[in-house]
Amino acid sequence: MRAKSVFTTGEAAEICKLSQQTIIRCFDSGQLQGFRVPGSKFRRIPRPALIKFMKENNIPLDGLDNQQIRVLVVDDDPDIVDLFVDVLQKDPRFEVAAARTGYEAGLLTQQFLPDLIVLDYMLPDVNGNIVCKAVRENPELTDTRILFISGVVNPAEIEKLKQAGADDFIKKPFNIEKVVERIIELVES
Amino acid sequence: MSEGTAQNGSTGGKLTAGQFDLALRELELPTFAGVVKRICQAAGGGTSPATLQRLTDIVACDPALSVRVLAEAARTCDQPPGDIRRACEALGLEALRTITLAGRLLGDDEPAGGSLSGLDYVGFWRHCVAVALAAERLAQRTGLDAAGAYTAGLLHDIGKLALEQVVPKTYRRVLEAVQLHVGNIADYEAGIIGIDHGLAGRRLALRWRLGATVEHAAWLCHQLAQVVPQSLREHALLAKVVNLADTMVRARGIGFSGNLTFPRRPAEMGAELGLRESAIDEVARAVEADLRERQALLGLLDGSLSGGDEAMRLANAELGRMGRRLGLQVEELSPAAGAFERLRPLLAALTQQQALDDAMLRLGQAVASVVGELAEGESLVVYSLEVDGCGLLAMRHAPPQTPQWRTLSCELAAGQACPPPRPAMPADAIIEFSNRLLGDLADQTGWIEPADSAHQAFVCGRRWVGGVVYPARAGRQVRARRTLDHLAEPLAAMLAQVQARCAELRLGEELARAAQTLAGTQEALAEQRVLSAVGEMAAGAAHELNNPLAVISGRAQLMRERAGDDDARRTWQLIADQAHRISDIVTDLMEYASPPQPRPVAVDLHALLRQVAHDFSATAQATSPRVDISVAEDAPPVWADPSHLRAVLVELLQNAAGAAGSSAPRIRLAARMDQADGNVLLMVRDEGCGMDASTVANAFTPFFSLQDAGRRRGLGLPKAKRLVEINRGRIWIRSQPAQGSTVYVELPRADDGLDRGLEPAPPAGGDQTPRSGGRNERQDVEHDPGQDQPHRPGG
Repeated sequence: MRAKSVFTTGEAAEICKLSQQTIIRCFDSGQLQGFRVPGSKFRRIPRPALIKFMKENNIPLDGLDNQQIRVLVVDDDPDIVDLFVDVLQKDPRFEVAAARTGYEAGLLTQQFLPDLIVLDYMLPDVNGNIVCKAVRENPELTDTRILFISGVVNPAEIEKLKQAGADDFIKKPFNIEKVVERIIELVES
Repeated sequence: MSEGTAQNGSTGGKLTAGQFDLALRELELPTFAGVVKRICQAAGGGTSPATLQRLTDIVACDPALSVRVLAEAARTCDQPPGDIRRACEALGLEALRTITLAGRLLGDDEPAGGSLSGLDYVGFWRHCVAVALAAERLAQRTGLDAAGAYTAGLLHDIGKLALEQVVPKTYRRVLEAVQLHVGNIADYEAGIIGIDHGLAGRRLALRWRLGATVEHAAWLCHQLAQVVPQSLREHALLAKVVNLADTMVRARGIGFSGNLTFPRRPAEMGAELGLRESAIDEVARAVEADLRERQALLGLLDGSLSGGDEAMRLANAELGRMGRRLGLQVEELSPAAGAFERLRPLLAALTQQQALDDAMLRLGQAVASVVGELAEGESLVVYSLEVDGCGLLAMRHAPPQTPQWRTLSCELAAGQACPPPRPAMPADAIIEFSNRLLGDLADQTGWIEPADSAHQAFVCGRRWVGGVVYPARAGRQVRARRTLDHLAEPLAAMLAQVQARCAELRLGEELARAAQTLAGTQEALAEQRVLSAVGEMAAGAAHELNNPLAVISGRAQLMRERAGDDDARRTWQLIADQAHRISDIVTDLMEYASPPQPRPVAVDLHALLRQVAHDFSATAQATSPRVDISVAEDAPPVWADPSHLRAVLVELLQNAAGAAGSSAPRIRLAARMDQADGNVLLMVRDEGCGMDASTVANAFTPFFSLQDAGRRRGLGLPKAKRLVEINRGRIWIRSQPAQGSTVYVELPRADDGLDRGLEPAPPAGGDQTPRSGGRNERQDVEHDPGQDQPHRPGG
């Protein structure tokens, strides 16, 4: 599985089994080295700094290796979202978040920093390929994979999505096993 | 006129309406020997009304004889009767017998072993009589004139017989083309001969004055309803009845018509006439019984042409010769009458509807009477400029020979359609024009010697409409010229009037054809519009349906994982599979309506066919038929999108396997070069249950499936058709119930495709556009080697 090189305070808290507040305090006091995302207040911790911090404070390093794949499911149909959540939540390899609109998806992407986004093409507010472009323009999300999923298969549109930065496309309805396999393949590639 | 001269025009091998008019002069439509025999027998039965009735019944069974009777009645009666029964009554027993005997018998001058054209006379006869009977019964139910409807039905296809007689060899090619490509014979006639049987029938009816009923039946019943001018609405109703009768008879497969297309269903056409479907069925059943009765009447039950014995033929031929001799004598005697006496009936004839060549014949006779007796070897030539919009029509008058006719390409006629007005034209220009014209005439006909000829031009208003060339012998010329000068103006006016009428006729026909083309284009456009609406709808439906389907399928998959026993697992799997199947149907519909743009390359058929057959066999079940492949050595690569072509072949194989069921052991997959037009022909043949004509006509309609409900969704063939058409190909089916089906796919060969580049096919345009536009009927022109450019689809 892919090793992350930079962590959010939330991720660091989870890895260290501490509260996010504690991590933020340590960050602000300089105990935990890191930087802020240019133009915003978001804190980011590079992997070596986190390891140093964990060693100094005798925190076991297990959390760093047993990372789950973070999947953000974006679909306006709650039944589809529920289906994905049911499938992925049962599976210990995944951690799932869900969004119903492009706007929500944008917010969650910033906070949740998913490894992969399952993205419906037709969202109520914006088209999937706009979300896709926004993700691709964010330097923090260079490793995030995007798996489009849609009921309409139009070869020309699929081509456009790939150009916009999508990694793959799967048509609804789908075979669950194959979707899960594909998610893992994409994240590990 | 022989077939050779009929084809020698300035229009590149095609017959024009004007040339056909000329051919009609000498045309005798042949009659069944059996008919002649029966009439002779019946006529021997005295002069009672019952005998006449019986005779009339027999005459009304034979289209060719009916035409002659109508023409004779029109010639001799003040008020031409519009239908056969009244015509027979008007003529009486003796005349009917003479008309019957004077005709030519079928098979008279054809070589042994069948007609030159290969037309199935008995089948044609069955079709005509069945349509007549159906039209008669339909007319009774709709309150129209039944006798008129019978006549119209009997003669609605008379143009076919006329064309077949005028150009038998060319007609053979038409019949061959119809045999191979399932389509409408009229399109092939127009494409190969130049005029179709509707137009031919109309011209025949006009010339022989068969009356408005026949004229409009022959013409209008082949036209679209919206093309019919307001003034002809009354006839249009009759034409609709004939059209319905024709469709009914064709749908039942009675006789031979050569039209295998069914643009509309009989029930739909009947509804327009206020007829219920049950009424149409009753009529159709009654017609089959009526037809058997007529066949028995003529002794045609065994389907053979024989029935006339040798003696009858000899008597017939002798009578024919007598008739022709009489005609010649009349022509010989006529020039004796004086010039002005000649002119009187000539001018009187102007009020009647007259063909151009008839007018020229009269004109020639009038001029001859002025010029005086022609010496041996001398001839007088009358010409008319601007016939059929091109060239010149010339007639040679040289008694005692029969008149000769020739259409010429004329530099003057083409380049200088309107010579300068007479007063403004300097003398030397007139002389030059006249000299060039005489030169052209002499070069192309050899009828005149310019140096020894005098020329009188006919100028009407400001237009040079024609003229006459006659031997300029000293002494006689001055007097003749003076008389001709007096006559020139009325003669020119007469010629101009006849020309104007011919042009009007021609324009009317061109207009109708243009309207047909337009209607075809509109139909194609409407189809495109429907398809794009279906595509949009299917895309919307796909989006709306696939979400719930994904939930159904996904949940079923999850339930399957949790299920305790195999039965439950199978059930959940079934639910998931069916959800996917629904989704596939919607996707298919979407792809049918808006298929992906083709990316054509040169495709090697040897490899592709083997691959497809292999894949098919790999997925086939034990009961599936075997696939035999044969690709001709000379089959060139085709220009098509390989994925499309593969999809087409898979659909066709599946369709063939479905039709074959478990009873037929094999499917044949073949490819060869189509020698006629250089395209490549693929064939998929099954030995299954076959299809009747109306199923074939609907085979490419989406969701039209005769197979067991639930087995196939009926989009296979329509999708294949779409894919073939976007790859510039054509697809059609030939099938007979219980005799298997063959699906043909015609594709352009690769070297042609490279020339055309990757652009999608432009909409067909210009005069090569098929009349019926769209669907699978392309106008098909088969050329003789060495003639013109070969015609290509979509070009």
